[in-house]
Amino acid sequence: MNIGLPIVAKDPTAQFELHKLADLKIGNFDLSFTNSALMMVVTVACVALWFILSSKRALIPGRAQSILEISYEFIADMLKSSTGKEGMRFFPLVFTIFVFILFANMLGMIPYFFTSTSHIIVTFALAMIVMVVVLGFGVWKNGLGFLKLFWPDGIPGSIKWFVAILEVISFLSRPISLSVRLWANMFAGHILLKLFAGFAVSMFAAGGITAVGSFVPFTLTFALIPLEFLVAFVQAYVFALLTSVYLSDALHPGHH
Amino acid sequence: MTDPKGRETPAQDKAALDALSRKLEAVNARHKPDVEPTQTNASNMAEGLKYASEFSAAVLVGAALGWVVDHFTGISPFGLLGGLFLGLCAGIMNVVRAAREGMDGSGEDLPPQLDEDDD
Repeated sequence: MNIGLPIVAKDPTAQFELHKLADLKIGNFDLSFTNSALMMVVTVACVALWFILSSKRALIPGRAQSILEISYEFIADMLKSSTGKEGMRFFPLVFTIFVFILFANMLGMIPYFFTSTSHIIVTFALAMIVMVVVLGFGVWKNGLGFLKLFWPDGIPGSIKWFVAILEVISFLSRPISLSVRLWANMFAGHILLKLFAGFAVSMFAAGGITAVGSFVPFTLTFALIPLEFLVAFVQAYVFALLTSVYLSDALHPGHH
Repeated sequence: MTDPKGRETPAQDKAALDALSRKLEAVNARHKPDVEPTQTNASNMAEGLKYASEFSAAVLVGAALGWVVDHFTGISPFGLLGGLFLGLCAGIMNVVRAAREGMDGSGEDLPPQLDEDDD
């Protein structure tokens, strides 16, 4: 939701600019309420509305309740297949992350809405929540046995230490790859949409033969929109899936 | 040939059934696409971004660790060099793992099918 509509159509990155809606400074920290924060509040409000609409607990579910039940089974199946039955204790975390990212991505597809997941700091914060839970729970449950996660087996003893160092680096790289994946998909997709839409407009405005040719970028924009909706869903799913794969490492550090 | 109740097909119907099978196969062949549809552009991009993020993240972490080692021991630039090398190795390991497991161990990177009869 940008203040000062309409955005200059030709700048594909203008859609990612942050605007302060309310100033707030605590010490040296700038905690101003931005359009990104507003979109996150809208996201949470939409999810809350959906949950409230679904909470009638009808035996024959209505539309909202039916979708909620399908979503529940979808995430529960995924979590159970990657972590086993005891992984279900993490269901609230995984489901919250999935629904939040899904709604943030989908709301971002509405014209003039801001996509909060297109900023890497937002996705990195989400990834760090996951990693803190994995580390904290893994150490709390397994103690030093959690270090078995980094100790490879089936490898000659001479290079075991080397591979163990690589495993540690690989583990530390997880939050980065997790957040970059989601961020890059949303960022690149929105830039692509904006770019082709911008081409269509400026080619049409140029007139003559280019105006006829403007149907090419227009068709591409038209084709990209459903693909972007698909990406919005798949990336929310992939984030939740990787979250449950990492959580299974915290539960069973021995075999991976 | 037997029907679902185990009864034999009468001999006089066999020729007609065979003709019908041939006709069905011909129709199937006609409707089959010449080129099998491949994945869409969007999921190809997602696939590329997957490997890119897996690889670059490990290199970044390796370099950062090397820089920290440099900072505290003063052996610059060998900590950074060693860190980059280790990060490169870890990145390759990440990519190999991502390619082998399809990221979820089931060999595919797609949502699971919903089954209705779940508990």
